[in-house]
Amino acid sequence: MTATEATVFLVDDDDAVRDALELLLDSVGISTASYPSAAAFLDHYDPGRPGCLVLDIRMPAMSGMELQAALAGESVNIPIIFLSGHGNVPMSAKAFRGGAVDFLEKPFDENVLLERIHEAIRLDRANREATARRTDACTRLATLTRREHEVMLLIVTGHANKEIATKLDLSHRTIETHRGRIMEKTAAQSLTELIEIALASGSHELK
Amino acid sequence: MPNSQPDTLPSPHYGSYALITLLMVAAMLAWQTWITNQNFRGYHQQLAVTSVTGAADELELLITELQRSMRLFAEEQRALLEEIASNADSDAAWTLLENAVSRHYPEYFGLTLTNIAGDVFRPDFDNAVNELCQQDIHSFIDEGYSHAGYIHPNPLGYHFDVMAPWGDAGRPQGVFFLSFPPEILARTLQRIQAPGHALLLLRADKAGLIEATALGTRTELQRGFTLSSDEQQRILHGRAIANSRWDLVDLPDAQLFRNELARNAGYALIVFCAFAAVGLLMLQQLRRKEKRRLQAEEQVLRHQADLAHVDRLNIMGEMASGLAHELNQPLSAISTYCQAGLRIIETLEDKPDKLAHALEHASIQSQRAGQIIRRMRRFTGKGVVRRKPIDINQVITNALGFIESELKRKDIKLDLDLAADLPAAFGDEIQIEQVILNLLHNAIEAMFSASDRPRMLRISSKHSAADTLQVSVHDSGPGLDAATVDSIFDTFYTTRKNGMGLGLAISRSIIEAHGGKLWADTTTPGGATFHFTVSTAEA
Repeated sequence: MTATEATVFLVDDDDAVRDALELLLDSVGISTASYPSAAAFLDHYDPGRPGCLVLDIRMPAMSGMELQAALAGESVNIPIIFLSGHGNVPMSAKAFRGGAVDFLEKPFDENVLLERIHEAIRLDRANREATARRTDACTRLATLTRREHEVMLLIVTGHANKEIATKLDLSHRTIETHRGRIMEKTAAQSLTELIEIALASGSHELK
Repeated sequence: MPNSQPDTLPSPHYGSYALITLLMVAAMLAWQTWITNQNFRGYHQQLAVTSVTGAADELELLITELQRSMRLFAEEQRALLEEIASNADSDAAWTLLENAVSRHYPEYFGLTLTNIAGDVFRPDFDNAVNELCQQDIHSFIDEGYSHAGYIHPNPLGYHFDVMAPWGDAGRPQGVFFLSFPPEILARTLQRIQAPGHALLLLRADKAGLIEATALGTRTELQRGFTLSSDEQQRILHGRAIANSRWDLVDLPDAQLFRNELARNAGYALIVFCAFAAVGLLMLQQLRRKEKRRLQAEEQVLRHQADLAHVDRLNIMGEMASGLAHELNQPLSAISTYCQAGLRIIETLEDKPDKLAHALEHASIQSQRAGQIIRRMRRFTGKGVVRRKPIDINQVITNALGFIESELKRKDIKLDLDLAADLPAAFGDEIQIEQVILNLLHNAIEAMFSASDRPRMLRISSKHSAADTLQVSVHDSGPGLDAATVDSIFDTFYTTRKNGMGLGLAISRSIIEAHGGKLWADTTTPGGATFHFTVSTAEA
């Protein structure tokens, strides 16, 4: 987990709206990056930067909706808050189906917007942490041999060494050795930690 | 939008036309009936003249020939006649005379011989030479031996007499005469008489007295011997017969002309009735057709009115929507600036309360303005789309109906490429039709401005994805400028002098409200192409 500060990305073709939002977010200590068009945002966006996206729904060239679809296509999972000059029901429904956090009609209540921004940042952080944990767990588990992986799965599903030895038709001692190596490779301090790592990896054998 | 009232044409007076036609037919039939009748009459009149002339000539010849031959006979048999005159009781001489007469006149009825005083030498017919015969003989002698014969009765029957003087020429010694049965005359009448006509021999000196007909003489007639005045009126032709007291006339059957008239009139009536019936049926058909035409016209007018109404609503909605979008941006900025200002004031140690108050109320008022705009939009908004299954090709065809004459007038070729068996789309038919009409109008406008190339309008429909239909309108105009293509859908954007710039904006709103997409294609060469999609999913 990096300590990088969350950024709110503002995409709106209206200069005044962008400027006012920057000022507002700055006044509450949130850093911002603003772009006048979806294309400009895509050109500069680094998916590694945490934060959320505040997006105007209707813009020339590429609309907010289209940007949402483009990001989804690249598996970028950044929380999006839509702003709309004239929202309508089918449009907002579509936005929510695409995973939007909220859909606010201009002129919006700034308190609600700030609240949603905080929520979105929290959501993003949680998403990123979950992603980081999974990556970390996968990295650790990737060092295991096939046999060690097999043994690990039986350990975390609550089997004793003896049971494992019988099941795999190996000696008790061999299982002991495998177990020691697994704990060493995954750097797990306890059985509980090993279970956490296995779960975080999203290993499908556990589901 | 075409909403001009078509000229109200006066509906044709089919009833009057039919009546005039029928009257003309009736007049024609009456005329023809009259002509036919006249021809018939003329023909029978001619027939009567021919029959009477022929029969009269023949009867005259018969009688004249009898008179001549009897004079010759009397001359020839003078010795025998003198013998009988000198010896009236000589049976042998009388028999000889009778035999000679029989040879020459096989049909004779009676034989009589008198002296110059008119006294009968030998009574014939068992003394049956009666008063009338006596009168005849005397008148014959008195009038110088010429005689107009006629038919008269004696106890044995009706007959007519032919007389000849006998003895020296210029000094006759008596009268030799023969009686003949009237059937001789009747035969001639029978032979010459035309069907439907009766040839009658009438007494010239006794009005209307019938002497003989084709059937025979008076005794055989089944009716009165005289013609009624009505029958006399009906006589077509008549002629006197020389050397007799007879007139020969032609009397047509009482029914002859009446039947002919009835037949012709009946024929005319049937033809008239047939004409009238056919005319009435045609009239009814025409009335029905006319009614259907009027209904269809009314439907078109209603449809146009619907379109115009929706058009007005859409324009209002789109103007409100456009205004809302334009105003909401600055309002939003104002509100956000105020909030930012308030938060900055929060951080100050010496807080300017009055300024905070002002900013706070500015923010509240901008929110209020936003509320007003939202309310206005709800009021004029397009509302919920009425979703009904629609045949998109039919909608295209309907829209084309409005611009057909314009295409012809502006010499624009139409290329229709409609996919068959498309599933039904769901939406509001009138609104979709309006989008198509709008695209068509834009296309026509675009081509009209470029006069240097052939004008071609291509419209296609296809099944573009699982539950999506796509309609494309391509024109051969100057095409779209890649730089402005993004702004053409903006509310109030227009390239025309008198355009409002709402058409494409409204169209896009309508299509988006239907869950579809409307876009311009800049990649097609030689003109502009607009596509839109509609969903076939019912939801």
